[in-house]
Amino acid sequence: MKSLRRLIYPYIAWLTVLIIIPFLFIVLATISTFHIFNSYTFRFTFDSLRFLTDPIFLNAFKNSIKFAGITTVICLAVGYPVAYFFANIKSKNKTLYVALLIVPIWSNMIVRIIAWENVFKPVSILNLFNLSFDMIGSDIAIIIAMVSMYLPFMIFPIYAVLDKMDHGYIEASRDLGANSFQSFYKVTLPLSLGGIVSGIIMTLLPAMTAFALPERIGGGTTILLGNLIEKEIFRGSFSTAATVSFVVMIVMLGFFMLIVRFDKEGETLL
Amino acid sequence: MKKNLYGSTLQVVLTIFTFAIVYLPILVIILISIHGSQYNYDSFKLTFRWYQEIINDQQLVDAIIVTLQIALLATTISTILGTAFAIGIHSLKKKNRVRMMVLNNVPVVNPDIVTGIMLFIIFRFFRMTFGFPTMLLAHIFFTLPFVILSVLPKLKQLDPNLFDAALDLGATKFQAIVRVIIPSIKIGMIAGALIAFTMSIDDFIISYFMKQGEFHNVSTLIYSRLAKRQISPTVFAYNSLVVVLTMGLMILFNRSNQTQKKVRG
Amino acid sequence: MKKLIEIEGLTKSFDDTLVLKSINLYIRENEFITLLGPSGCGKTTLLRILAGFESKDAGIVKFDGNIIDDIPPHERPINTVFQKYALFPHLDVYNNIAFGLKLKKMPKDDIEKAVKEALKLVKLEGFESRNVKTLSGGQQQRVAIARAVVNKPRLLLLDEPLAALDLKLRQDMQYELKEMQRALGITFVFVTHDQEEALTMSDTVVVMNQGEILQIGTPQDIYNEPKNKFIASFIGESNIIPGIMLKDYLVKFEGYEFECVDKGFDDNAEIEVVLRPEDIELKPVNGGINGVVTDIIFKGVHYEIIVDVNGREYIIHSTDPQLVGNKVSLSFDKEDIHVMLR
Ligand SMILES: Nc1ncnc2c1ncn2[C@@H]1O[C@H](COP(=O)(O)OP(=O)(O)OP(=O)(O)O)[C@@H](O)[C@H]1O
Ligand SMILES: [Mg+2]
Repeated sequence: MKSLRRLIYPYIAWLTVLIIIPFLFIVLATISTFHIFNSYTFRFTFDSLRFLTDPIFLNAFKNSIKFAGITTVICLAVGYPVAYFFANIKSKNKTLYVALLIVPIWSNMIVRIIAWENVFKPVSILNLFNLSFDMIGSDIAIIIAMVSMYLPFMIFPIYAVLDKMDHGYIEASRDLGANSFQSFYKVTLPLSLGGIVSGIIMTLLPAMTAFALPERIGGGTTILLGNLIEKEIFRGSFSTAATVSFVVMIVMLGFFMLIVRFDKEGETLL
Repeated sequence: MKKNLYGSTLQVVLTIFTFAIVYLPILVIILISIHGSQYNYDSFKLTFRWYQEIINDQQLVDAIIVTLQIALLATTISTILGTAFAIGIHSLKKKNRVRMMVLNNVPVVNPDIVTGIMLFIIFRFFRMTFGFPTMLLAHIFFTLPFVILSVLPKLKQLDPNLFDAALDLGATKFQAIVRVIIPSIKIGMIAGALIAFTMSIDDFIISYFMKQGEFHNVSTLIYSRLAKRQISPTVFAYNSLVVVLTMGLMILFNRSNQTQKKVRG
Repeated sequence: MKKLIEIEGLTKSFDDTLVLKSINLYIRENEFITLLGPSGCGKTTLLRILAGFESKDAGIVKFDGNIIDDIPPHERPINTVFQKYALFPHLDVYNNIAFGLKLKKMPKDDIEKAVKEALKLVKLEGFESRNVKTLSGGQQQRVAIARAVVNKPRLLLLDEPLAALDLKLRQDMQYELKEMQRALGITFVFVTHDQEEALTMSDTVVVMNQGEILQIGTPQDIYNEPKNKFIASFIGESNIIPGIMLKDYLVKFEGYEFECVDKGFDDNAEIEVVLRPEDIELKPVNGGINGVVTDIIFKGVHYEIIVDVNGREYIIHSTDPQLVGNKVSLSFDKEDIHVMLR
C-alpha cells in the first residue's frame, strides 16, 4: 500500500496553510510588531506580552481557570460513573441511551444558552410553575450552564474506552485475587486513562474559551479568555488578541502532550 | 459476582442527574416554543403560532438554508477527502503515522475560538471575502479530522493484504480503493459523516469568525439578534423541530437496527 | 522444460536490515516449487516481489525471459493466495471469485461459467451466495484458491495457504492442491515452514534461512543429502555426529571407521555425519557403537528411543520397544550415512 502514501500530500499542504502558518502569525504578533490588519513589519517587541500583566487579562485568566476547572471536576466526577453505567448496561437499547445524550447537541448551542439565561432570569417561562430564580451574573449559574453544555463531551470518550474494554481483564484481575474495588482501581481505571484525558480536554478547553455563555449567563460582567479574544479581535486589536490566543495555545499544547502520551493516534478523541 | 449496591445506586442517580441537566434547556426551549405569549408567563396558552411563523421569518429561513447547505457540502467533501487522507495516513509507517495524527488532531483539540482566529487570520491574509466560501472552508477544516479519526480504526481492522489482493486480481489502484477498501470501511465513513454533519450544524464560534454583514447561519443569526434583543420564539420553534426530528430518527434507526439483528439471528 | 521465472542477484532490505541476500533461482514451467524456511527468513518478501507488491533493491527478475520490473501487479499474469486469504469481506463467495473476471470485463455468461468451474475445482459447488465471513478456515482457503485460479494465471503464488488448517484437513488439501496443479498445468510457488509439507508436495524444494538460499533440490536430495547442519536439523530430527572423512568412501566417527557412499571431500577433511532416526537399528551389544537406553517415548506409529553413547544422545525410531537401561548396539547401512562439510 506504499504507493497510497501520496494521498497525504494535499492534506499536509492543507494543514500547513491552515494551522502552521496562522500559528506562526500568532507567535509573530505576540513577540513583534507584526500585524495582519495593517503592517507586515517585523521588529521584536514585547509590548503585547506586557498585556499579560494587565489586570483585565489577569482577571479573565483567573476566571477561565476557575470556571473551567470547577466545571471539569464536576463533569469528571459525574461523567465517569455515568460512562461506567452506560458501558455496563446489558440492554439492547444501550446505544440508544448513549445516543440520547447527542440529541441536545443537535439543538443549537446559542439557543440552549438562551434557555439557561431564561431559567436564571426572574421573569421567565418557569413562572408558569411558580418558579423564579435571580441568578444571572452568579458563579453558580455559569457553572450549571457549563456543566450542562460540556458534560456529554466528558462522557463520550470515557464511555468509548470502557465499552471497548475487554471484560477478560477484569475477570483476570479478580481471578488473581483483586476485590471489586482493587480490580477497578488497578485495572479499569488505568486502562481508561486515555478516555479520561480526552474527556478533560474536550471539557476544559472549550469551557476556558467559551464566550457566548459567560457573556449571557454572566450578565456581561464576567469576562473569560474567550470574551477577551473576541472583544480584542473585533476591536481591531490584533496583537492583544493574538497574545491571549497564544496563552490558550500554550495550555492546549500542554494537554496535547498528555494525549500523545496516552494515545498516540488520538483514537479516544472521538 | 456480588453487585455493589451502593455503587450502582450512585451511578443511577448521577445518570438521572445527567439527563436532567442536559435536557432541561431542551425542555425550556420546547415550552417557550408552544407558549402563546412572549412576555406574559402568568398562565400557559398552547399555540403553534411560532411554528407557522418560521416561514414568514425570511431571515431565519435564509439562515437555515445556509446552515443546511454548508453542513451538507462540508460533510460530503470532508467524507470524501477524509477517507482518501485516512487511506494515505494508514499506509504510512508507524512513526510518520503518529506524526500525521498529531497534526490531524490539532483542530480537534484546539478550542473553537483559537481555530476561529487562525482561520480568520489566514483568510484575511489571502484577502478572501468572508461569506459562504470561507464558512464552507472553515467547516471542512474542522470536520475533516473527525472523519479521519473515525475511518482510521476501520482501516486498521482490515486484512493488510486486501488492497494487494485486489491489485493481484487485476484492479488498478483506484479500482482497488473504490471496489474493495471503501465498501469495507463504509461504517466508519458513515459514522464520520454523521459526526461531521452534527459538528457543522451545531457550530457557532468558528462560524462567528467567518461572518460578514448580513450573511448568517442559524447560530450567528440568533447571536446577532440577541445583541439587538430581537429574539422571537420562532427560533425556539425551529430548534424544537430539529430536536424532535433527530430524536425520532434516532429511535427509528435503533428499531430498524434491532429488527435487522433479529432477522440475521 | 522452459524457464518461467529467472531471478538473479535479487537483494532487498527494509530500513537497514537485509531481508533477501542476492537470491538466485529459476522456476520451470509447470513446476511445483516450495520455498521452505523458518519464520522471518524472507519467503513472503520474495513472493511479494514476484507479484509486484514490493520493489527490489538490486537484481534481475525475468518472467518468460522478459524483465518485469515496470509491470504493475494488476498486469502480471501472476495470482496470489494470501497468507490469511484476504477475501473481500463485503462480497459473497461468487463475487469474490468473479472479482478479477469482472475487472477484465468478461461477458456475464462466461463469468458465471468460469466461477462455476472454479467452485467445482475446489469442491464448493452451491456456495455461491455464502457470506465469506461465515465460512470455515478450510472453505475460505478454497475460495481464495478459486479466486486466484479462475483468472488462469501462468504462475500461482501460495503463501502458507494451509497453515491455519488442522492436521487432517491439511493433509487432504496437500493432496488436492497437488492434483489441482497437475490438472490446471499452472506453475505453483508454494511457501511453507513445514518440512513435511514441503517434501510431500513439491517437485523442487528451496531451503531458505535469513534471506539466503541454502539448498535447491528434489525432496529426495534435500532429505538424503542435506548440504549442512541447518538443513539437516530443519528437515526433520537427525543425529549429527562430528567425524573425519579419511578418504573417498571411508568415514570415521565415534572411534570407528565406516564404509560410506560419499566422495569428493579432501582426505582427512573434518566433516559431520547425519544419521536419520529411522535409519538406525538397535541390536544386542556387539563390536560396534554401543550405548545405554535412557528413555523411551511412544509416538503412535513408532517408539522414540534415546540411547546414550559415551555422553552423546542418539534419537532412534523403532517399532520395537526397549527397556530403559538396556545395553544396545547401533547399526545402520552404509547408504544411510550422509556426510556433509562441517
Ligand atoms: N514491510 C516491512 N517493513 C519492514 N520489515 C519487513 C517488512 N516486511 C517484512 N519485513 C521483515 O523482513 C523479514 C522477512 O519477512 P517475511 O515476511 O518475508 O518472512 P517470512 O519468511 O514470510 O516469515 P513467516 O514464515 O513468518 O511468514 C522479517 O524480518 C520481517 O520482519
Ligand atoms: Mg510470510
